Amino acid sequence: MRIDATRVVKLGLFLCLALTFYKGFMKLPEVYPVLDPERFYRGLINDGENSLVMKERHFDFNYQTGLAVAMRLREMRERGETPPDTALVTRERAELALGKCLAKDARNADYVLLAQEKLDRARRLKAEGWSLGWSLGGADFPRFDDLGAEAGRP
Amino acid sequence: MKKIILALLTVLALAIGSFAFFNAWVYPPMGLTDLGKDQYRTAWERAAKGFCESSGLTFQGDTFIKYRPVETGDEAYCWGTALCRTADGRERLAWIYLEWSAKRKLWTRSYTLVLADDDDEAYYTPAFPKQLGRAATALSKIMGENARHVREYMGRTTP
Repeated sequence: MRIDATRVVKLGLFLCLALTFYKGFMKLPEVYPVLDPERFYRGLINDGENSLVMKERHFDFNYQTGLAVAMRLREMRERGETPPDTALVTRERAELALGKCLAKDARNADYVLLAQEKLDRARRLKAEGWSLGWSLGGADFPRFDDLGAEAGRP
Repeated sequence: MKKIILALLTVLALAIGSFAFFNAWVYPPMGLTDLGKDQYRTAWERAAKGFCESSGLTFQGDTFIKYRPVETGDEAYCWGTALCRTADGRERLAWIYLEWSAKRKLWTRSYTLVLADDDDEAYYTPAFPKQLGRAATALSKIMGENARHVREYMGRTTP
């Protein structure tokens, strides 16, 4: 059994392939919650928590941007300034920006609710000890035609 | 000829590398390394004052500060807005956002800017500015932010 460069590279590639396979296998939703449930549920909830914080932050950022735009509009009115149309910040564009911020507020508030739902779902899955299992469609998995019937489609 | 190209590429790689290293590793926790996770308020105020000073603004106080730690991990976030005043007496809101680095165990500056500033994307309309203007604004924002980081770093008082 000789040791040469080709064999070392081949062995390295094989090990990398094996590692990739192992890591991918451990991430399968059928396998992960069974073999390492603690880590799996913690990951789910951690993701939900971080998402919720992120959505709240995005809401705040847009809301505060709206406040800052309103501040600039008030400033332009008080100082009686009307910037030329070549400037980026004109009264008209500031008003448009304010409207855009208000519209995005509604959407961002919705995203916060969705993130809260995602976090609640993760906590519920942990409480139920959920795992995907190996069956193809059981009581937990409504079929598309059932969903269609529920929605009143033929 | 080949050597010259190689040398130029090396210089370019070094420039990009040091740009990234400074802005992503050296600058973010500058002056905040002695603070623990619970000292988020001190960290936020230091970051806000440093931002205002290096932007030519006067720091007047915060309008709100939020601290959001995560239960299932070591992540924590802290954000808020600082009320500041420009040299000619105009009021501005500055967004100061810090993240607790779970890996390095210190507060890092994450995203900091004057809200609704003169070059803010919030004022863009579909027709104005055009693509070239947008690209130029984006590039000037990146370089301006980098220059501000350097100013703040050079003017630092804490190690």
